[in-house]
Amino acid sequence: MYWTLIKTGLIRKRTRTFLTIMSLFVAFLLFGSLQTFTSIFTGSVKGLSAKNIIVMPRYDLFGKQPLSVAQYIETLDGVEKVMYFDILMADSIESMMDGVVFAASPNFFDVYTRFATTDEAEEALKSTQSAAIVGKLMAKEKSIKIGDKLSLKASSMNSDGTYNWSFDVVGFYTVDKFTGDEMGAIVNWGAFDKARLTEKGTVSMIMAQISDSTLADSISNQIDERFMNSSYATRSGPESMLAVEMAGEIADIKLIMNAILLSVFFTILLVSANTMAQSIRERTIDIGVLKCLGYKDRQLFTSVILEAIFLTFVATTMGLLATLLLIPVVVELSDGMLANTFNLDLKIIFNGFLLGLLVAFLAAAIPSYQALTLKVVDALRKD
Amino acid sequence: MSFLRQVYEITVMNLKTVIERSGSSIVIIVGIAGSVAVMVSLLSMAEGLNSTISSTGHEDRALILRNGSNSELSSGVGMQEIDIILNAPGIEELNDTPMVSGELFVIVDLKKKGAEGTSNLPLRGVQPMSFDIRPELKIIEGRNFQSGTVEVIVGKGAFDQYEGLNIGDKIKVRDSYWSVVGIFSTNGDAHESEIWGDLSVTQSIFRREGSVSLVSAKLIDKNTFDEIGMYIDTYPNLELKVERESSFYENQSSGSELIRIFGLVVAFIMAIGSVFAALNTMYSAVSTRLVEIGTLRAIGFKGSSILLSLMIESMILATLGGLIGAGTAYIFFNGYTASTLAGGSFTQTAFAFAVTGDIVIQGMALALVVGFIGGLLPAFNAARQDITEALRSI
Repeated sequence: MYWTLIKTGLIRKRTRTFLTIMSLFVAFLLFGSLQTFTSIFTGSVKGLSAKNIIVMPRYDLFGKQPLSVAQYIETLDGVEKVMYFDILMADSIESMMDGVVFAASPNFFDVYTRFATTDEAEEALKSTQSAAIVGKLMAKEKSIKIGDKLSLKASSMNSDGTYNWSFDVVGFYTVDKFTGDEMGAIVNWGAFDKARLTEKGTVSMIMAQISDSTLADSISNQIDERFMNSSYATRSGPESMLAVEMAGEIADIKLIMNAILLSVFFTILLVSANTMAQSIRERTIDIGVLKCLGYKDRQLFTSVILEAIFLTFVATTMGLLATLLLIPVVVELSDGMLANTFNLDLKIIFNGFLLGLLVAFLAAAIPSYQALTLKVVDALRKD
Repeated sequence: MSFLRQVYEITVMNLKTVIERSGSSIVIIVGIAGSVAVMVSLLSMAEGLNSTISSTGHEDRALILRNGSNSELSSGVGMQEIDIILNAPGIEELNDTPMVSGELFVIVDLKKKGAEGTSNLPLRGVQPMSFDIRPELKIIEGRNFQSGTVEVIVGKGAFDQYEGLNIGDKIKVRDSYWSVVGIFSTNGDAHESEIWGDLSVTQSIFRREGSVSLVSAKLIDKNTFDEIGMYIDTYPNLELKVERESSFYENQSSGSELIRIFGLVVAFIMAIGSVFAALNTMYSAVSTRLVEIGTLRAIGFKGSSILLSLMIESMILATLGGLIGAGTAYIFFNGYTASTLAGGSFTQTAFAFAVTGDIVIQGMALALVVGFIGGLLPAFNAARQDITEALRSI
């Protein structure tokens, strides 16, 4: 019975139903995509390990620290493995977009399990001085093949007095989840350090794998306190926490994003709710007739509310589905750099539907209540 | 009656009834106002960030950095290399001294107002000549620091955004305390987000004796850039590069471009939503007036004049919405200061939102496009309405 009433309500003015659904759809598409986008700032970056502690220079994100820091960390209780790498050329966000070259310790692939390569390539990296393993994404972008020369500029001086370096490509690596990291290359730190004239014995980042993630805070504090007053103070923390902290530096942006989200939503909801309310108001006569035919107030009230819920449900589903479809497009546009940073998680979906329900109630409740409490004669007299 | 006369009469009639139909008219206005407000505020944010960063650079100044480095933080120039730069051609002189200054760019972490953790704030150790190279720097409160002392002056942007930077406050940097003695302004450019102190004191506190991050120089005029460039490039065993200050800072403003694109995309999607809402409103505006439209047609008004007058109504509502949206964005955001990670060195840069005339025009264009599309189809339908059909709907 309800379905018949809802259907008649919806097809009463098809254009209006269609337009209302479409404007609500746009609202929920924006809700879905902006929420997904802001989740980067709120730290739901998935897949970062709490068992990997990252140690980097406190005052200079792109700075260097001496290898002795890594050697000290190795002696700490609870630390299982220590891996370190130097970033050859990274002094600005802009320069990192072209690819990041790591000069890594031999156990890089062993500790950083997100990165994977073939055994032969790993072996070649350890045995050959000039070997480089190139990320899949970078290989694709710059059409690099095994045997090619990889020429680049580094921040360290080569023995010929220039900053130009050249490596031989011996294989490719892939990265689980964070495919943006495939925009890069890995070379042998030992060989690189031996060859360079400046910045000898330094690394950019140290990663310690610990036995138990509950030890993460105490070990991080221990490291930071040890080097606090040295000329290379450190900033340590689990990989997952540091990512959130970095995003926190963009704090104001997050605030602004939320403000936009609020105004976007407020606008379109007001607009759609108004239209839905109006459509019910126009139906006063129909409701009077239905009452004459013996429909109960409660039944009519429920059917009108259900109609509104149906409408927003369709729009919410469409909007969130469109968000899901949009994510791969954005990832594709970013050349895979943003892969896995966007997650349309269950919480967003749940909130979306909850919001949809709320809108339906707000839009339908008052006008339908007014129409229903009207006396039949008044309702029929209206218009 | 002439065509224009007809259009005028119907438009006046429509507008008189707008107030009666205020509920649905507000829908158009609010929908468009929202889209325009979002677009204008995001674009003004991008504009503010961009102008802050790019206005920092001047064409008649050069920055000398280590070859291959793209940011001040990663660059390093030896003190003895400054002597080579002092002899370079094309550099302006002040009292027979070349206008060249070594600057050490380091990071201190301080607490932002209202924040829990600390954020990166740049500290620039400078030689006295830096103040002559950058005459836009003015002390607006307190006094300048004295050479050789542990005193600093704080940029206005940094002062606004961070805790404990009042004159007389001490800030802990590494293992020493610096006193804040003054606050400076640089006409709102990126230097306002910095702290400035004496070069040699900064070098010793950060244990960076013997080197600076970069060297800034004043050119005789903007055309002498090539002279100094040629000199540095061809000097044997000198791994340095010269960049015009203006192009150096322009290269660092890619963040604002991202915000701009983001703003345009969000505004575009919102505008689509507003078009649907406007269509809805205009359709119902037409349907509630079917009888009137039929009557007008019956007494000789042309379909085309009905179409045009409905379009005018829609465009007037859109203009109103656009003005409200742009006005709201202006009131709330123009001059609003925020700070974000910007530029190559991953430090906080404070900037002010700038709602410029250009941005307002873009916002109004969006409003008019939405109003046009939203009004066209319903108006077209109304104009083509069969007279008898329309009159029968009584």
